[in-house]
Amino acid sequence: MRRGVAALLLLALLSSCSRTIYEAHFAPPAQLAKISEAAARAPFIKCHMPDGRVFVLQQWSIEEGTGLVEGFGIEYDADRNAKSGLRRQSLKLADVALIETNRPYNVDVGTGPVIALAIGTGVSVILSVICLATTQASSGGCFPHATRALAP
Amino acid sequence: MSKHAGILALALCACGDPGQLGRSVVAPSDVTTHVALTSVPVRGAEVTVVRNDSRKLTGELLAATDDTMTILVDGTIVRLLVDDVQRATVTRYENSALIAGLAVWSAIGAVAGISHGLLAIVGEPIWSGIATGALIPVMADEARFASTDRRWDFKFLHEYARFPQGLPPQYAARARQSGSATQ
Repeated sequence: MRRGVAALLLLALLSSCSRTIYEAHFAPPAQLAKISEAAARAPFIKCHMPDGRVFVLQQWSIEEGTGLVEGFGIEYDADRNAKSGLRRQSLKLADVALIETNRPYNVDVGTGPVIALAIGTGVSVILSVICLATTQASSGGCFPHATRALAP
Repeated sequence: MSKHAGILALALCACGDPGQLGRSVVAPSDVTTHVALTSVPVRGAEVTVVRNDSRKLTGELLAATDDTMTILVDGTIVRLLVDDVQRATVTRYENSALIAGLAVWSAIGAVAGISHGLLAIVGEPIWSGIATGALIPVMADEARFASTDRRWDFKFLHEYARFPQGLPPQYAARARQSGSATQ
């Protein structure tokens, strides 16, 4: 049971030692072709408006024929306060100043060091247990002087 | 057992992703699809600017053009001419909490090593080596920064700005009103 908890903790620790960064590509609506390849693999897009607002959308689509950008997302004002909850958004492409594609990546920043310290800690625990056991067995173990001093 | 679980829990907290900023093209090593829409950053990255007179300025990057960059420093909008800037460094992600967590873990491990008695003579140097080896690569992780000291490269900054489309009118007006434009 304890081993399972420790393993789960370690797994959670390792999986949390990463940082998310975003591959971003930019294009004004008139030059959408520039980012078509990046857009095809980006789960999010941001529509930056001339007045500073930004719409962050997922499950998005751009219909150049109708000139509409649609998707589920959140509208933020220029101060980046959310003006709406997650809901369906529909924007005129002509009203957008800049389109940004966002593709998140995980960057590992600490898995190796955490594994090294976890192994070291594991060995340390085993040594502590051995020392405790041998000392209690009155054979001196890791603390021969202390054992001698305590001896009757 | 509970002591070591506590150490792991402490390190877990230190490793937690605070939802840092940072946008750039990276190697396609590990694409994640488990990002909530609300976690997508909508503010500019933290940028540290070293001016020609060696003074440093750190704030949120609002906008960057070929000849100016605009930064929000403690609620004040500061516009800098690119010619006045010696170096610009963007923080793509933070790892100071991770460094602190690993340092605490290392220190606790070193203290706990006393319980090894005479074996600590061998164990402590080994633990020190492991701890140092764990900390150095995290502390020396230069990938968390994107920087340049060449003025013609400053245009890379615009992808980290809150307003990559350029400063909106109300912010441009605030910059003028604060009298901090082109400091």
